[in-house]
Amino acid sequence: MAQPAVALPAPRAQTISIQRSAVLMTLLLGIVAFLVLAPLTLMLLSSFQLARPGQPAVYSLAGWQTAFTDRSILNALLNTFGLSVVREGIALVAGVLLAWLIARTDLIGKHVLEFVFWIAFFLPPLPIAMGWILLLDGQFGLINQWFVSVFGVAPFSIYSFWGIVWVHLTTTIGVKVLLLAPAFRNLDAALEESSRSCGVTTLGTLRRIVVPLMAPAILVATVLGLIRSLDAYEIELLLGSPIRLFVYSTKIRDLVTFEPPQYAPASALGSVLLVVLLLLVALQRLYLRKRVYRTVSGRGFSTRVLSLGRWRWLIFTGVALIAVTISVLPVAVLVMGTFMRAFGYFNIPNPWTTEHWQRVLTDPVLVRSFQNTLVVGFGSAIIGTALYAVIAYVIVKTHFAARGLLDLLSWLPWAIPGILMGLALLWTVFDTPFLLPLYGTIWVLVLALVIKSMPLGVQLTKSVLLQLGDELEEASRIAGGSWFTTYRRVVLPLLAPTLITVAVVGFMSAARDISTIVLLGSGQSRTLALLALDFAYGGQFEKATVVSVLTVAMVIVAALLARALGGRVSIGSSQ
Amino acid sequence: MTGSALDARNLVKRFGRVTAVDEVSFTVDEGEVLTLLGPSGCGKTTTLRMVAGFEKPDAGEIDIAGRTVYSAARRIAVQPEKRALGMVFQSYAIWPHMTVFENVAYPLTVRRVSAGEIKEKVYQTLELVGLRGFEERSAMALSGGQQQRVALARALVYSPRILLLDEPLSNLDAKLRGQMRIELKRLQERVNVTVLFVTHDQVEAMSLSTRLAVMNHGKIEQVGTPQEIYEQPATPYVEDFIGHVLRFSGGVVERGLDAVLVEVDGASGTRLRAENSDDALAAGDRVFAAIRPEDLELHPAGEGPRQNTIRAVVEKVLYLGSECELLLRFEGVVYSLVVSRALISRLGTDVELHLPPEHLRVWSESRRQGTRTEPQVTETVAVATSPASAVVAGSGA
Repeated sequence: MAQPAVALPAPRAQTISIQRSAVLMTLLLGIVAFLVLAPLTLMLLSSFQLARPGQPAVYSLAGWQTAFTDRSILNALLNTFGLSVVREGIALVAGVLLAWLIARTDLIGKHVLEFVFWIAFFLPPLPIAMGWILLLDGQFGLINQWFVSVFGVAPFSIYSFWGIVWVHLTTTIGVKVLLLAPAFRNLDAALEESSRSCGVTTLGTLRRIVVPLMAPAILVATVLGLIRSLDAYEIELLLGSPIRLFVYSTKIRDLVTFEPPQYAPASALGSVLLVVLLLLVALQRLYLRKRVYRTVSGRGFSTRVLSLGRWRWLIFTGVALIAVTISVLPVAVLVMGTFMRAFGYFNIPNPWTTEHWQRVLTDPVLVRSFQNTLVVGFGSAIIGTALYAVIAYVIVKTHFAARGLLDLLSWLPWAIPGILMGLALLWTVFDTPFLLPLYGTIWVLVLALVIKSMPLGVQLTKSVLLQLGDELEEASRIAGGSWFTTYRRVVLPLLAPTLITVAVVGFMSAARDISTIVLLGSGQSRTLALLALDFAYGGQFEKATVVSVLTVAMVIVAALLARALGGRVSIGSSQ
Repeated sequence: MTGSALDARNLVKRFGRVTAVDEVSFTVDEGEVLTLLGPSGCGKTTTLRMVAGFEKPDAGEIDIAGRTVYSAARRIAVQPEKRALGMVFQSYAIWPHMTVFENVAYPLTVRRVSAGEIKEKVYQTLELVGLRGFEERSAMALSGGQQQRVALARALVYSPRILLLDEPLSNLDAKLRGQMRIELKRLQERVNVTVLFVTHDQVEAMSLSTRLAVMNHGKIEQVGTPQEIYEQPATPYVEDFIGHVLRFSGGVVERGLDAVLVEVDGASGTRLRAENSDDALAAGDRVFAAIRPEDLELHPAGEGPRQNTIRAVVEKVLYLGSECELLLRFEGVVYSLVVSRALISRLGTDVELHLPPEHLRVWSESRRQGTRTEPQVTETVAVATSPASAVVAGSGA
């Protein structure tokens, strides 16, 4: 009844650690807020002022006036919208179907096929676009040449609306499969089987049960894909410019590279898109809030695969065809192109040559660009992944009061088109004394890419953390593990495959990024991708293919390396 | 009285505007099993999580083995890992990236115990839960029952001050649940660990507990031994939640010294004498009289005692195998009663239910709120699992 009368050891106040973590989280919020909001604010400000960076400000509404009255800007917006809707619609249906086939059926060779889609995800858009130019160019495109020799007409033109959609599709289906296949795999098979037992067919079950259950994952994949495609730059630049088909990003480039540069209307155009994208993000968050996400706990669950029966070979052929078309085909043609004296001209004397390779490989510019790519890639991947893991953890697993804000901030960079992000960052560097020393170095590129990859990195990490039941951590805490021990021994090992994926994605985006860094990279800090674009846009198409092949090779080697590392970790966790 | 292993005082936890736990106080003595029993949403899990340190109470204090681990007023909040507790989670929370050995060894590893001692203790504990030989298995390759044993071993391996069990049996199938319940009891007695157990299952609660606390709407309604709780329920909610009960609404006719006379609602004008009532009642008060089915006597029409007997109509007889379920209608309410098959043959369309005054308990109608919701608007269903007295009374010979 009574309290024990024994003198108790004075309780140590434990509130300090709570306060310390709050301080650290607030600091994190501050850093993210600065990285994300400063460029955004400066972009908005720059839409109201006419002077160049570093010069006295001149404020005016002229930029907005131009943005809303110029017909070509409106056309660019319409083109952007049309292209996005068409390609995302197609890619979504294809992506869901392919991911489901790979994850939940006995598709022949599904591991190899998933691997091919996985590779396709990493292929940079520029080399792929160049590969398709070699195949579908109105004159020298190989497929068109074949049609001419058989039917007498060249049916395709890569320089068109559908040409752009096509090249985009080949680069975005891989994203969908990569994002959706794991989610399909984590779906309890009993949910599908109970639908089958109610008399619903396989396809009906996919439509009525699987897709609705997957809705959150599908939505994330769609919004990511849509926003990412809005950031597309090099595909439209190469394929749209010749036919005067502009999208907003190429239009912005047009305005910025105009002499004198039209920063104000460019920023105004960017701000309009920003608002649209913010709305999209808000809608998505509203939707996801109503959905229960936590499906995976420490308990095992069944993931049986479905038999495709007599359709196996037909479906396999179809999927394999898609896989080859979006990966092997354009790359193979590109490699072939590097050895041709002139693209597609087989009838000239000595059509084959190694001259392009010799010329490029002996170029000191290439060696420098190669080094730059490695530094930028590894730098942004390592710094980024560490930052994203912490951000995602704070958002998902803590009670930090401002975690919603942090979530929102980590999302925002999607809304900043690469080229405007570059411009905005340039102004940020000028206006921030402690960042000024970075100007002209490749560390500005690293900074830009860390911000650029933040949404995908945080989202990927978050989605895995969300599926990790709290009890796994609580079990460690109650067993005597401190927060740090728990993070190191329970969270990190379970998260490791994801973090490696995030790092790979970070490296890849860095190695292939063009739009974000094109304004920040000087001649000295050019990466291979920038070099390839300079060659391609400058008419040195043969040189561009050689550099592009190098980029592709680097990306694939790094991807394989990461897969080997990540594979070992995930084997430890699954078997 | 020895010092209590756990002393929780006036715990309050609010989630937004909802008060999940409202001024809850209890103690757990050394070696005792205290069960928090209640329906989902009654605040029992939140209370357990406050003891574990995963939820911060808005008010109140928690002492573990005489040391204050939480006090809202004194701003003390000891981290979960410093509370020396063991816990088995509802989902077991077996770490999928570790083997059985690594899972169980974890609490010792983080305490920097030597490798030799870890091995010894882990083997010992796995032996205890019957999982010797499973050390190198991946935790994910285990069945539900085996995962639960791993979780139990992991919680016990470092001899925690208190073992917290959060509905540990609810994810098992019925047969395994019964088996694990017995095993858990044996294990607890063998290692003599103090247990705070949370469940919504009254069979688990009754059979495993030294004492149990029945919770409802964030409050503890009654704390007591299983026998006290069953035989002397402090509130109509407790009486209803534990076991089964038949209820008859009516009004107080007369309040005697040792009994209450209640006139049952309806045309029959039946009067019931009840010898149990804790409420201050006066003539005219609205009340209900309650009795557990095993305490009443069932007679063929006309054969029951004159006093304290109601006459009901047999609506239906449901065959259950060794027993039958009788659906009886009395004053527009359907009551369910499980009786032996032999008895059925002797019953006609009417029966008499004798409600012995010493078993009949009267509650004020105003206390009805907070009891379990009625299954249907006009039907009160109670199931007598072992109506021994009814059989005896009915066989009469």
